[in-house]
Parts: sequence; C-alpha cells; structure tokens
Amino acid sequence: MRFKFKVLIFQFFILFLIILVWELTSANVSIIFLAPPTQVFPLLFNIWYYADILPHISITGFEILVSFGLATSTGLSVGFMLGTWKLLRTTYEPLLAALYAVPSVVWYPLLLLFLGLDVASKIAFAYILSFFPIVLSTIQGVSQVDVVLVKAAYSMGASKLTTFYKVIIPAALPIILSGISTGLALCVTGVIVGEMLGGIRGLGVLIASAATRFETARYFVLTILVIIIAFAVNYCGKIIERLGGRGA
Amino acid sequence: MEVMSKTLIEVRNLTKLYNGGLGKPITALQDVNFSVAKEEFFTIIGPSGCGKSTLLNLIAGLDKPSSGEVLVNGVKINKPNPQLMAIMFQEHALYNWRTVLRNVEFGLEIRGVSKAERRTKALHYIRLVGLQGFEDKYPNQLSGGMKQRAALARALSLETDILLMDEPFGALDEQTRLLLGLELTRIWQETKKTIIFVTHSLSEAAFLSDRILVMSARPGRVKRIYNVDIRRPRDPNSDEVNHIKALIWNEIKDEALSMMKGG
Ligand SMILES: Nc1ncnc2c1ncn2[C@@H]1O[C@H](COP(=O)(O)OP(=O)(O)O)[C@@H](O)[C@H]1O
Ligand SMILES: [Mg+2]
Repeated sequence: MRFKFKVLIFQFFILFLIILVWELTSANVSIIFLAPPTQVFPLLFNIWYYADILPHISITGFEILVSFGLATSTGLSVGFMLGTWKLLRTTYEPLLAALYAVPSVVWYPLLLLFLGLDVASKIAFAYILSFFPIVLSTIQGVSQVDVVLVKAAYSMGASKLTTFYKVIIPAALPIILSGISTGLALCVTGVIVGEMLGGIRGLGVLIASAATRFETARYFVLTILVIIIAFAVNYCGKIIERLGGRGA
Repeated sequence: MEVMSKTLIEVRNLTKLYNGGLGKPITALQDVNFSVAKEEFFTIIGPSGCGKSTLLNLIAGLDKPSSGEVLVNGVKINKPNPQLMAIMFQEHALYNWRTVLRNVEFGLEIRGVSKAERRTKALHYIRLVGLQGFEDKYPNQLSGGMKQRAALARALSLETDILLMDEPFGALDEQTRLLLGLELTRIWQETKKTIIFVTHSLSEAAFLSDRILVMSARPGRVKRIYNVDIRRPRDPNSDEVNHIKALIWNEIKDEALSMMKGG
C-alpha cells in the first residue's frame, strides 16, 4: 500500500509538472497556438460546455464498440479456424502477417470512397486496425498449445470438440487476450484518426475542426477527453488480459 | 517374477514409419514383439530416440502403427481407451489453469462422473500420492516432483488396470526420482496395476521392474528382455540391483554409442 501511495504521488507530480510547463509556455506564446490551462480547465469542468459535444462522444463510442465487436468476433473465428487447421494456417498466415505490416492508413481513402464520410468508414477503418492483432494472436495461441496437453486429453477419452474448449482455448487464452487488448487500443486509434482525416460526426471531427479554426482551448478540452477515453480503454485492456489468470 | 501368469498386453510385429519430411520415411520401430503379464511391472529402456515414446503411444492408441498390432485382453487397440489404460508423460501435462484437484478430476469429468463422486475419488488419489494439502494449488506453484505426483494422481484416478508411463520421473533430480520410484512401487502393489514404464535410467529400471526390455538404437527393435528376480522390497544399492544395472549397461552401451555418432 505504501508503495502504491508513493507511485501515486509521483504520478501526480509529473502531471503537475506538465501543467506547469504548459502554463509557463502559454504565457509566452500567442493564444492562437496554445491555450493556457487556466483557460482550458474551467471549460473542461463546465458541464454546459458539453451540450454539443456529448452526441459526438456517443458516436465515437458507438464506432469503437461496433468495430471492436466485429474485429473480436471475426478475429476469433478466423483465428480458431486457422489455428487448428494446419493447411489453412500455412496458406494464409503469412498473408495476414504481411497485411498487418502494411500501414493501414493507405486503405482509408478507399474506405471513404466506398462507405462515405459518415460512421461506416470509421468502423471499417478501426476494424482493419484491430482485426489483425486479434486474428494473429489467436492463430499463434491456438497453434502453439503444447501437444502433450492435447495428447493427455485424448488419452483420457476427450473428443476433439471437448479438447478444444477444455484444453486448447484455456491454454491459448493468455495470448489471445493480449491480442484482444492490443486490438482494443488500435480500434480507438482507428476511430479517432478516421474521424480526424475526414468525417461528419465524432470527437475526431471536432478536434480537427477546432485545430483548423485555431480554437485552442476547445482543442485541448477535446484532446483531454480523448486521453481520458484512451486511459479507460487501456484499463479495460488490462482487465481483459488479467482474465487469462493462471493460464499459459 | 512369479510363475508365468496371464498375458494382458500383446505387442505383435509392431512397425512404425514416420514421414521424414524429405520423402524418406524414418523407421522408428521395426518388428517389435513382446507381451506383458497381468500385474506385471514391465520396463522399456533404450537410448534416447530409439522409439520408446513411439511404442508407448501406439500401445495407448494415441497413434496408428504402420503395421502390426497391439492387443489387450485379445482385443485390438486402435484408439485411446480410458477405461483400460491411463498414460503419464515425461512433461507433467497438467493444465496450468486448473488447480491440482481439478486437474486430477479432469479424466473423471470427461467420463461424466458426478461432481461429488469425482471429488471423492480425486481427493483419495491426491492423498495416495502424498499431495494432501495442495489440492487448491496451481501447477506452477508446485515443484517438479509434486507436479509429477499430481500427474500420477490424475492417471490413477481413472482406475484402469493398465498404467503407461513415459519417462515420468525423467526430468527430476535423483533423490526425488528415487523417492517417487519407491512410492510408485507401493502404489503398484496396493492397486495391483499392470505398469509399462519407459525410462533411460538404469537404476530406475533395475530397482522397479519385474522385467526389462532393452531396445536397440534406430530403428527400434527388441534387443533383449531380462527377468529381474529380486525380492521386494528392494534396496536400490544392493549387489543384486547393481548386477542387473551392469547387465543392462553392457547390453545398451553400444546402442547408446551408435546413437550418439548420429545413427
Ligand atoms: N511425429 C513424428 N514425426 C517424425 N518423426 C518422429 C515423430 N515422433 C518421433 N519421431 C522420430 O522417431 C524416432 C523415435 O522417437 P521417440 O519415440 O520419441 O524416441 P524415444 O522416446 O525413445 O526418445 C526419433 O528418431 C524421432 O525423431
Ligand atoms: Mg521419449
């Protein structure tokens, strides 16, 4: 507990330092470039300020949830299939790994063309970003389960199906969950970046327009919101990974 | 050994080829023949890579022979039969996400035994292998020896007539190995099981077995089968045990050497 308390003190110290530097810097530059914390925080804690922002937050949240849900469900299904079926895995895993290495932003103009400026293209883009770590880690987790664990299950009379859900899934779980956690983080990045690069609704759209209009105070409020969301998501990711518990 | 008793396991002309990858098959086993009597402690020893695990997997029905057959009670084995045989591996093969208790229950769970009954049985066998007090520990909280005890309890919980053991104590230090060997002897006598025990340890073979089958280097064949007529309880350092060790060593050393030269 004492240690945790110290960690907390240090974290607050860094935060304080950042705000201090921010305040001092903004005192010396034009308000067009940098709004001081003394201007940003009153806005940040003013509930009325969010009246027009809230719908955008919920759109962004919706996009994150849908794309993450799609990426997880398809990533797991494809991953389980390729992980257990050696022929498929040998055929397609290199392809998936190569696609994962492609900077996903290159697909975005195409998505905008086909899916339009609204939410669909954001969901698709975030989906592409988060699908790969999930599918690849599922393949890896499933195909690397120690054969002796499977053999032991067979020798005790387990069917293939039983072995799959009683042995292979729990054995692969830690790796799969870390993939899902990475996927979740990338999904948030995808949605925000997608909105910023071109969109109609969402936090990213607001950030981009605040930035281009030099509304720096607003820009900072929105950015802090994104940081809060990212922290929350990161925390969810940690919880997801911890679900793996004792497995390995 | 006692007077020739009833044959339980028969291995007939067993041959196993593996796909070598470069189109050239590897002959892991060639024409292996032997039989094991009911309640016998039968040991298979041979240099590493000679096909001992392959042989045990075939007996267990975990793999198919290229030719030949394994009969138990005159019935051909072609898939695992958990009512008849339990198997224990060198790697403990425990499930890390389950406690010791739930690991030991695994086989019974698959068999569809009720929760209350499998708990009772699991606890019984955990006690038998000396793991009481560790029921709720996870495998990675146990020492190597304790993991093997847990794996043994899991194999015993199936209450099969036959227990197949593939170098079960091979990864343990010598004292632990000796200790577990002693306990295995006790459990074997209490439960009247037939055991096929694979090892590369001369001491283990001489100390534990009724009979010892020495395998030749690749392709694995039966080189010779020894009777070990030493009264039990045995002293691991007695002259009789050492004599058997010397005999087997003489039989095995050329094989081990040829294996090391990259046979
Ligand atoms: N699944 C497999 N595929 C190809 N070769 C194998 C396979 N399993 C074992 N072998 C080969 O068969 C031989 C016997 O192996 P194994 O039965 O594991 O020996 P041991 O248990 O005596 O050390 C070895 O040369 C090994 O490389
Ligand atoms: Mg082996």
